[in-house]
Amino acid sequence: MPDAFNTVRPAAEVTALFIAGTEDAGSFNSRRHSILALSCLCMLTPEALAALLAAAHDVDKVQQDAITAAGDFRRLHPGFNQAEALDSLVAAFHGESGAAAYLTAQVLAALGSSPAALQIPGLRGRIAQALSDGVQDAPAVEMVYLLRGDKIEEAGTRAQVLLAALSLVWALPGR
Amino acid sequence: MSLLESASWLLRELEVSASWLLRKSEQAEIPHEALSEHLLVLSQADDGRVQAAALAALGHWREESGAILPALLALSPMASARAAYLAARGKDDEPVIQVKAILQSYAPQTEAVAALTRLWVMQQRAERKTMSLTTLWSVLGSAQVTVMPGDLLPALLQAATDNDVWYDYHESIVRLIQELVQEEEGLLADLLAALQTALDEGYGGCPPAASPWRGWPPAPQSCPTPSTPSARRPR
Repeated sequence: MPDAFNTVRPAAEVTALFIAGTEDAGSFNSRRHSILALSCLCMLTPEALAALLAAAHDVDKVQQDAITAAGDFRRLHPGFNQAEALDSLVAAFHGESGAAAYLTAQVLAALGSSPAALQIPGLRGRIAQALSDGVQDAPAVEMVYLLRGDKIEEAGTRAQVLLAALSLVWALPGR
Repeated sequence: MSLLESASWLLRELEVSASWLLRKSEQAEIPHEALSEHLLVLSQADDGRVQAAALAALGHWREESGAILPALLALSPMASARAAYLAARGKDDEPVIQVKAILQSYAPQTEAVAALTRLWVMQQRAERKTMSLTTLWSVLGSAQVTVMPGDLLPALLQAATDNDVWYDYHESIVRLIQELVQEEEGLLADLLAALQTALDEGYGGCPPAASPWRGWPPAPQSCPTPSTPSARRPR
């Protein structure tokens, strides 16, 4: 899919177009489909991360699609400094929002478990370390709540969410 | 009436509010007859934006009394497209046949192809089927509507453009567009250009780039009132 876009427009333009869609306050459909389209590019940019985190606080349909989208960001954009990216992600999963923490864990799991992570020396290890630290630091009983239709569902404690992401990064059984 | 005619951007608000009222109202608390008379007059206004808003509202009529559909069909391709919207929800086959015949005479105009597509996809939906692109081409051929792939894309986009809650009808159109773009790779650029245009136009003629709503969550301000009515564009 990203290759198909590259043949018709520069990647930066396509990304900017989808980012603009995620900011369309007049239509939640525009926001949810834009974030899914953005995830088809597979590339995590600072703007894409900001869009995902904003979607964590959006209405249920956007939040759900953002969670689906989060698992598709398997590459860090070359212009997104690795340390800066990890700092942003770690800050988000330590933040107040449980939904943002959940989304961040999905992004880290996708990034850390992708073959592309191996091309950046040490990236998988650093992601795993960040998740591991997060598991230890997370309050044991703090529950993450997500919107599902007109209901609020428990997605596990923050530590459980991070642990599940960690198991994906190391390709451990159990999920 | 005179205010609506002179301040055409107000029609956008009328379209939205009248449309939702008509869709939501189970009981006939709305003065349907009086409203339809006004809207039918406005649907023939000189200003295209007034026409479009009035027609869009008419397309949402819940109970078609038999006056609106013929009136719409006697107007323009755009009016017939709204008639298709109305007829597609009806249970009676006769209006659908009538609308299709009129639309076929307007084809391959984009509005007409879009409206025909809506009718066909809705018919398939009623039979719990999903229309494929192959079937659509076949149906277009049977209806003697000749349309090029590059012209079908805007028609499909238009067929999916409404103010309804997103549902499986829209998904069906999306699948058709996906198939079309996969078959005709050159259309991907057109699709991206259409997205750009849609985002630039924004919702209700309030362009996101110029709007305090830009960004999420939106700032607690309302859409700025344009200095002149002409600054606002219909969707």
